[in-house]
Amino acid sequence: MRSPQFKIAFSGFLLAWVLTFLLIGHLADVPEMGTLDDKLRYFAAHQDDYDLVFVGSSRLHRGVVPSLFDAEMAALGHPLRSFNFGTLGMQPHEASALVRRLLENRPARLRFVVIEPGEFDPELPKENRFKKRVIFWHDRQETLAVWRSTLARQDLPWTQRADLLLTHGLHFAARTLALDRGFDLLRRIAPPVEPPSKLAELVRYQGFLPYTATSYEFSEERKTFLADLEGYRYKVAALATERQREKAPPASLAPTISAQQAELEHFGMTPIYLIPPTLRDQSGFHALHRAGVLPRFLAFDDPTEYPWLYEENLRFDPEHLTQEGAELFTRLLAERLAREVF
Amino acid sequence: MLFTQPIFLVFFALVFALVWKSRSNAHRKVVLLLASCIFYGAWDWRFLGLIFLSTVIDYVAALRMGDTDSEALRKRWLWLSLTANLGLLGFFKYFNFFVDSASALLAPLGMGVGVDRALQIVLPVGISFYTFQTMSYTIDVYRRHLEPVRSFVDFALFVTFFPQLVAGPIVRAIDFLPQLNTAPAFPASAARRFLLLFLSGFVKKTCVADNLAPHIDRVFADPSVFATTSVVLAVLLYAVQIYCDFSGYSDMAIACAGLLGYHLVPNFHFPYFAANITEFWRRWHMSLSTWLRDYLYIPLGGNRGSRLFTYRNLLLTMLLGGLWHGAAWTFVLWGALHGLALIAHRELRRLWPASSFESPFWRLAGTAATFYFVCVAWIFFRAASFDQAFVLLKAFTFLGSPGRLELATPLFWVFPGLVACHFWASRGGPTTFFEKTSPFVFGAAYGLMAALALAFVPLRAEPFIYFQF
Repeated sequence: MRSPQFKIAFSGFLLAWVLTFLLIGHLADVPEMGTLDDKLRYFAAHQDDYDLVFVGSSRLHRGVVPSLFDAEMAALGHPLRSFNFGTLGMQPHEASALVRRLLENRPARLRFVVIEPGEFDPELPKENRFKKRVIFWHDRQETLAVWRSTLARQDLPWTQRADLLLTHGLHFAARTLALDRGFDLLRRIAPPVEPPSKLAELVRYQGFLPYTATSYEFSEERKTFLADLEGYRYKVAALATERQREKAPPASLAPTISAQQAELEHFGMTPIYLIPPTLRDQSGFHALHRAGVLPRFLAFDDPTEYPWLYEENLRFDPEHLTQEGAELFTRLLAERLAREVF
Repeated sequence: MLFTQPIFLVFFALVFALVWKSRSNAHRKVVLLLASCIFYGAWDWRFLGLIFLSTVIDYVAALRMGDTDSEALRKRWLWLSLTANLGLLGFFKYFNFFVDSASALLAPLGMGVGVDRALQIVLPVGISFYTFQTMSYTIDVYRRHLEPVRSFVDFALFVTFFPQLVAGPIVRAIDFLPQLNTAPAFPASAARRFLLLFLSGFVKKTCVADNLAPHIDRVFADPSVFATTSVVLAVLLYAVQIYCDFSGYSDMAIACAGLLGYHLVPNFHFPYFAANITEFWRRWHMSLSTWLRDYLYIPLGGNRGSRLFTYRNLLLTMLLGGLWHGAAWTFVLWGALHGLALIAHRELRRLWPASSFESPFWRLAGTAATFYFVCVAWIFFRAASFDQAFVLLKAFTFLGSPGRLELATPLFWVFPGLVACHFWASRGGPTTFFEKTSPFVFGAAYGLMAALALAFVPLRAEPFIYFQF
């Protein structure tokens, strides 16, 4: 087995294997990941047209109207063009990897990155493991970051941490080895014709996703929200009380957020952290802002300061705004951005 | 543990290293037996006991047959073995089927079967394969074709040998046991062939079968919403899927066994290029068809009687062959269709000599007709019910489907593309190049193909279709 012939053959195998999967990873089109790959493809073709991107979860996807934002900013003396990269279920590690990917292409005009911050949680639900979208964000830097997040979670049993370390490692391996990227490569060679409606929607809304009449009629989240408005009001009141308290920032969060900011600044970007009008506890980020870790920080999660954003008629469900709510939020956002950042 | 999973590649690499480092043949066999137990236990450790029960029964039965000259006693031990094997198979695989069928039969008479169908019987992986394997052993010992093996390790290894344990090829003791008598030499000259065979099997299973599966499943789940062309395409692609899935697994099994120094019989020989149904069954799942011939068809009387007697035996064999594949009437019908087709072909040959059909035109026509028939039969094999099967059949025979949904356009090019690749492979493909080229070029080409194959592996692992048998 250790004959010279075997060694020669094995070295040929290793060389060709590594070169091939590196080439596939480099050449293949973005994998199919729902709306995210459409946005990535669109942005790649138009990246020099934008000055600012919003990156975050569906709270931004449904909550920030770029066309209105651009108009408001222009009226305030800061003409720019923005794109909404908000995506359903986007987690902070994914957001980090996404921004890194955008910036590695060196878009000429891009200067501002507005990020919805979140806990860098290494946990990965079993139903999401090895999905293309999850593999996609496991680049080298983000895999190292998620390993650090995992090791920092002293509250988890060691068996769970070991499982997470292995799982994230396997996702990194899957990404590096270009597993399941064959059809993405074929799409690069023979791009499918995109339906005109899809492109038109991206151009028209610049990444924003408005709720449709069907959403209002059939969404389970909306039905649940309307059935329990009392519960919603209680949570809003509790949040208002919570926001009055000052908590210490969590120890593990500061280094990760600081590293993210440093990376963005290295690319010449101005990172801006944005908390939309959510019911989730974001006190850790408020604490980081008070400690000076997040200098450019815009928070709208105070029902006392922004009662209109928590009004029931401007809410589609507890975490998302209606079209009217999104327009109000966008105007308030533009006003604060122009005042505090620009 | 599927052959296509990374964990198997790690497992096999370890076993390969341990086996070829073994100090003696005895040591090597123990390593393989332990590895096979680990492999099978990884599926479900609860059924290790069952496979060993089956192994012990047949080991003892064969030894007792060998120790006596009394035909009556020998027959008794044979019946014990067959009863135990078929009893286990019958219980685990067919209990619910028999209960449901009896219930359906008696219900119109107002006599429901009182057994509550509450038995959630888990089907042990590979039971259909290893019970046939062990039965062939005891039958061959009874027929005095084979001396009973004295070494329990050897016999247990024959039963549990992991490359072929869960989905064949069905190995005959007469072929495998002699290979265990001496330690094999490393197959240096054949190593390239086995590595290529493994890769080819991997590509067939993961890149072709697993990628086709979701599209086919969509159509078979609700064929009435799909247009005729898409239903036809789905049936054709299912023929491709089941072939690639099963032959791919067989290729990997044969390659793994070969790299460990053991020869397993080929299981497929380009069956869809068969010019008639008899030839199809000489090319498809050859280890099963020869088993059915030697242990069912011939003992039933084979073709040693009248024409009708022969046809009865043929039909019975294929009916049971269909039932072996699955505990459902659709499988029985599939077997019946093949049985009737075999009978029809015999009649055709009796009425017109074979020489009338030797021309390339007739051979091509025969191949197309055989493939068409096989696809029709696959409809019953794959369909979840007769209702579903008839909807598919109606569309496949161009009587039309009411639906309008179409499969993606690129899929319509997949079928002719795969046919072309398959034809090229049947003519030798790139075998000559790979066998004659320098080690570095072989390694590099293999690395390139392996990386490309991995790129087409869908991350969701589909179990092998034949695992359900």
